[in-house]
Amino acid sequence: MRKTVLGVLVAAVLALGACSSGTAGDAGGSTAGGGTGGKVSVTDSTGTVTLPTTATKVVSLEWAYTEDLLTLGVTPAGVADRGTYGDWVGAGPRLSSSVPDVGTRAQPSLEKIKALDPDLIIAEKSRSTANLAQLKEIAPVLLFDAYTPNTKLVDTANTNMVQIGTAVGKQGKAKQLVGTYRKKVAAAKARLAKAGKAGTKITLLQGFSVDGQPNIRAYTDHAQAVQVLTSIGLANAWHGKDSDPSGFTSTGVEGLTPVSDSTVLYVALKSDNPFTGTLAKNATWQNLGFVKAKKLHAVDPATWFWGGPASNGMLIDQAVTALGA
Amino acid sequence: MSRTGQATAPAATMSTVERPVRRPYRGIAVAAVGVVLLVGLAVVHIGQGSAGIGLSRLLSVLFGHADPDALAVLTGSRLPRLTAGLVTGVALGLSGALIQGATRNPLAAPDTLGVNAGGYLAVSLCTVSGIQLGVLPSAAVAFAGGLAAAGLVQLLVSGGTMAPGRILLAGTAIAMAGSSAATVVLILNAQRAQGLFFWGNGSLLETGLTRPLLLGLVVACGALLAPLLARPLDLLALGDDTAESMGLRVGRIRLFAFALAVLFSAASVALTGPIGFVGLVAPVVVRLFGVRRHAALLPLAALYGAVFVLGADVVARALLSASGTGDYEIPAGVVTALVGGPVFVYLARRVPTGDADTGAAVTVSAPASRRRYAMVVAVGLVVLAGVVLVALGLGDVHLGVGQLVRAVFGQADQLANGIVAFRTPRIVAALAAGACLAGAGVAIQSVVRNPLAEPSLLGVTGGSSIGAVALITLLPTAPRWGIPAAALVGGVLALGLVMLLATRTRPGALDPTRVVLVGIGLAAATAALVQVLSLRAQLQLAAALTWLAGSTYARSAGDLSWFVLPAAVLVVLVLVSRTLDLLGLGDDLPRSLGLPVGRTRLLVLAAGAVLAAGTAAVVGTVGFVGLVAPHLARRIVGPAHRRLLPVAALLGAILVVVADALGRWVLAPNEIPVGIVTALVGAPYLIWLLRRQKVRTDGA
Repeated sequence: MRKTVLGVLVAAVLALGACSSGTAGDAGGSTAGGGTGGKVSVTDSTGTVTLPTTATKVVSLEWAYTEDLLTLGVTPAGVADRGTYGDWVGAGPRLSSSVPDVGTRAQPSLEKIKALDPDLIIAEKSRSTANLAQLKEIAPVLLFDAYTPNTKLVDTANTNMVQIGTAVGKQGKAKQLVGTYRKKVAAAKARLAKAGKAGTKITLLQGFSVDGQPNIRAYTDHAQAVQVLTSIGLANAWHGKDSDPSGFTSTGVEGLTPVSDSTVLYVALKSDNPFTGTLAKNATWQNLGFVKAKKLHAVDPATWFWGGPASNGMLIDQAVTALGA
Repeated sequence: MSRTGQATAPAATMSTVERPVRRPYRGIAVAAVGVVLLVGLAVVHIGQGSAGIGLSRLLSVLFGHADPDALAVLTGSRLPRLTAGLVTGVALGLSGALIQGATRNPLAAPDTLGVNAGGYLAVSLCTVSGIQLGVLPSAAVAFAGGLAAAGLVQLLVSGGTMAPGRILLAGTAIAMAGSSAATVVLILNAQRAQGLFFWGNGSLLETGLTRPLLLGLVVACGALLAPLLARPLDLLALGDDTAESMGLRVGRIRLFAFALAVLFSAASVALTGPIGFVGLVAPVVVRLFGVRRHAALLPLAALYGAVFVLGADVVARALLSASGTGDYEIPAGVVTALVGGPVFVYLARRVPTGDADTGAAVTVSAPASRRRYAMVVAVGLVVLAGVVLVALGLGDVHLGVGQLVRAVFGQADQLANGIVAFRTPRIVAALAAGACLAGAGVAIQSVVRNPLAEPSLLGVTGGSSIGAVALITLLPTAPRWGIPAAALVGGVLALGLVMLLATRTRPGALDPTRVVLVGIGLAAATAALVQVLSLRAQLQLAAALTWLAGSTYARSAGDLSWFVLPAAVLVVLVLVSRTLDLLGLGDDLPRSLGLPVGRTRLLVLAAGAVLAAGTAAVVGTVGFVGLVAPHLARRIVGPAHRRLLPVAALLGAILVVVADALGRWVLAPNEIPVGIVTALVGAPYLIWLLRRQKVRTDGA
């Protein structure tokens, strides 16, 4: 149902965009292969986008794609939510503060983007239902989909990296980065198996405080970060329902009792860590198996769970270290 | 809080005014029922939870069986939550009983007077600015914020008559201003503000007994002082004059009662965040049982407050676990609002507002001369043109005048042309929205004969959001244009419902203030319903909520076609302006002139609803324009609708275009939704307007 309505919405927006603009972004997708006469064909969630030439001035409206660009060695012409990017995305090269900020990821400033005169915009599907038509008037748009719940998000992240690489003329480097990532997965899997940790049941948590009270997010199979962990041979212990499409259940301390015997990996800000703060004094928390058995491991708070291969690799390194493999 | 002022307030404002009769058995019976309910709910409450540990296991722990899991859940989760519910319920019940006693107004409560909002705003400001407060300091901050809000409301009451309805409008305005301010702060700190959507709905989620017990101690200390007020409040119920003549120092007692009520509210806000309508409903229920004397009323209100809060939490969690989502958290405040909104409406139907007879509360001013009118329109058009030009230049990218003029004719460079192309549909949307909302205000006000009757205060926008959200959750395959269409239908239906509920006996006899009060109650209930619906289907809702947040972001020429119908309605209204004038004359005169009053009122209201909901369909919730623009217009050109409507539309257009430009420019590249900007301007205007009206009534 969810996918259908989104599909319909996006289709409607696309139709609107096609009518009003008819820019390069909509060029027909049948001529696969591309490359001839300087043209570049890239595949996104909507089909094939043909660019007149490889893009040099790229505006990224989602952190994952900002990360991909930086990892490829491309400085974006503009990014959304620049100010807090560094706090949340620790993997990959740092984002220079000289890169222009184009506003929030939810409502980026169209004027600012226009003023930057980009030759490519990379956007996230679920955030762009309202402004897609106007974005396409500015420049060709690559629309990726990393938030519609599914179980192939890691593959999608890898594919997106290669597509972005193709668009900016660094397809070789992108493929090499994805290859390195796949080797990392295989190596981690082997190390865990060798240490007898294959199939370890893990729960991935995030914690923060609202009004002094800890809020806990437990990540489900629809979260990319969980899919990263299962790809190295671990098993997700959490079977709650998604309370958010990006793949987590909002729950309280009591809700964690079903996963009491699993190993817990968590992220929390240094300034606001309920797992070592308010929760540490809580009887229910203290009685949980993973607390008593000290199978509770902090992950660097700047590990971005919805990132590209760099963020995913960072998570793998930490998981392997935490499990002592 | 002057004595002379309150003395003239209508004495018979509520049923408490009946002479207190000693009915000891009734009080005992009500107490017994309350205790049984509370114990029953507490038992069910403690057995609920996502760990799947039920009552039987908890009981066996009590009987000494070793069950570490059950014990841990009991002390680490169940007991803290139960205690938090009890403390907050008791505090709110007491707070409400004190405020209702002090104001003799059954609709007054810490939430409806803006006290909770003031306290929570203060706490939120601290949280967002990164100040980590302990329990008691945060209660102190909430106390200060609550006092400030109560003080503002009192400022409006002081020195003159203030009918109960008016006090509530002042409280609502203050609460709206507070929540708008909080939204701006939250927008500035998006990454910190995780629970933005649930702002203003407290949750009982609690992880330790320290906080609830500490604040429980504060409440207990306050509760020890409350009995001192029992007898004075009984006397106060007889009216200020009588109470004074019996030796009561009315002003001092009222001050004391308010201070204590704010303390209770602050303790509750610091513990759980604002949980709405408990302070309103608990004392009312007790009074419905026939308990009137405050010696019994105060403790019973506390008891029933706790029953209400626990009951809401029990129902919320039972619903969640029935729908297979037991490990979610639903704020108890959502459920109390869902129950409390209709109770508020029920009460609003009964409470005397003091406006029933004076009806024509519309500002009267001398009609302007034709020359003056022509000049006003000319100046208005020039200002509008200027404002539009400035708005075209303002934003992320600054455009100079020369560039702008060239861009308008498509002669500028590609960038300027493009930016003007983005801004133009947004400015046109803002302009049309302003004009339509002002027209909606004039239409509704001409029927209701109340300058405060504003579309968003009358539940129109609440109805629009329900319409959109219901369509998205119940019919997810509907096409995109269905959202504005559903918003339109929902808004029209909501206004119809408000009118139906506000009409007490004979059709057509609309008490101006009552209409607004019913609208406020309905708006609270619809807001809670939207939140319940949104627990499912969050992905789709994101689209609907951006739609309804009151913004012109990314609006394109295609969206503007939704204004065709409202614009046509606006033109028709100007054409039939004489009929609108007649409606202002009351019931009998127009009828004797041959006007089918009932049908005309209905048609004009429907026109207002189409104007307001049609606007909401394009730009979402933009509040207070329908109040500010018509009122200003009336002051400038007088009450004749042929002149009033165009001038109001002009002013509304100017107002929204300016608000939209400010919202785009101030925090660029981030945006403040235009609806927030108009609320920040409009709420103080409403307060000022209330105060002016009061002064006028006094002078008369």
